[in-house]
Amino acid sequence: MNTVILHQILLHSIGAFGGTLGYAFLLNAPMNTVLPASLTGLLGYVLYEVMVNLLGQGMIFSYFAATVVIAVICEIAARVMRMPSTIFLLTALVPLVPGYTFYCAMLAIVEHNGQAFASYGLEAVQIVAIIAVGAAVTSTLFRALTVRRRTSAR
Amino acid sequence: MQTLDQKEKQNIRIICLAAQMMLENGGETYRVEETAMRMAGGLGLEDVNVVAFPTSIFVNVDGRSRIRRITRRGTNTSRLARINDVSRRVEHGELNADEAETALNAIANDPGWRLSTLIVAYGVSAASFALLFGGTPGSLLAALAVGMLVQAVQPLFAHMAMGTLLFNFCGGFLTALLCQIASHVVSYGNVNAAIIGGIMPLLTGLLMTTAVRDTMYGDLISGIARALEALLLAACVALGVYVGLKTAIMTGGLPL
Repeated sequence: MNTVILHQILLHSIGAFGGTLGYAFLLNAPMNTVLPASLTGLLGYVLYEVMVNLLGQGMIFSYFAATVVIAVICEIAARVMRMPSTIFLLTALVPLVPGYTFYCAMLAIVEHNGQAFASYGLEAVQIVAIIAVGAAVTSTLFRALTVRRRTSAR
Repeated sequence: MQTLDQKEKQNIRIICLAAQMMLENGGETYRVEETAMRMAGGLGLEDVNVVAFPTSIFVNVDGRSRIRRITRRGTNTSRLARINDVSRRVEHGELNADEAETALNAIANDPGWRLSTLIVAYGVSAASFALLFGGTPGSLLAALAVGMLVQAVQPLFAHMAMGTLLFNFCGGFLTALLCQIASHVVSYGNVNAAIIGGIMPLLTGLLMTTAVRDTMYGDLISGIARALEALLLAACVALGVYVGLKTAIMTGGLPL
């Protein structure tokens, strides 16, 4: 195993956790959801880094897998704690969502750099789309499953 | 004793209030409409139509309608959770109309976290993101200090027209300018990581994810509107950073 990469992943995961934790307060998250959501965000981010850096998977697939794992945990947590899953998702997705890439694209426009805008913009749109698809697919599946269980129990 | 007319008016007012608060605090459009319909069912109303956009909401109950303009949009998940809770209890008949209205007003008047908590949270978040983008211990400290300052000036913009846009611009500007100047005073290593960490809490791109999810659920207009808002805010931050960096270079990186 490459210790440099492991060291980097460890540092990044501390950053991801702290960033999510702080952001949860900025989103005014309910107190009892802050820690579970931040830990979920950390787990998803570590999964993404491991898949990209150690397993050599493509960026888009790694984002998709990490989002699905995060969304599954958030849906379960939402049902256990009886809250909308959005509250967990909004916090837990923070380290994955490409705010930085959007910023780079916009900075490229300001600096009159068409090439950089095209590449950053495309990347940002790809990532956002795959994250939204991952989250939506998971929550739709969960909804279908729980509705069926409710009707069959009746 | 309320007349039937007043009762009807109150019901529609409650539904509208709940939907408006969800939109103002970052609820997805489909969830807003779902919550309003659920409350309407709990209050025993029939023939209810709810149309929600990020900027406005229309509620029609049996020919009587109410329209609300949404002027302030942010994210407050604690309020979302509490409104959801109220709507479920109304649905199951645990709350009547009066109690629901009192509960909703209480949620609206709850100010949330104190400013000092938010300042610390922004600082911690900024420093952590600086670490994520390969910052040195020095850039972590710079991001922490600048982040706390940015959140401290946020209340100045709260009641301004175009306040969010201006806050994003000023946040980017202050972060870039101060990080650059600080690096000339004390060389602390990775300046870019400090700047990116400092602006990350402004641009998490969550709006963009909500926009795509809205679009996928079929709320096309909401999706486009939210995507536009997300791009606009990111552009404001980028402009702020650009102007801040240029100002720092122009003044030779030293405070005049």
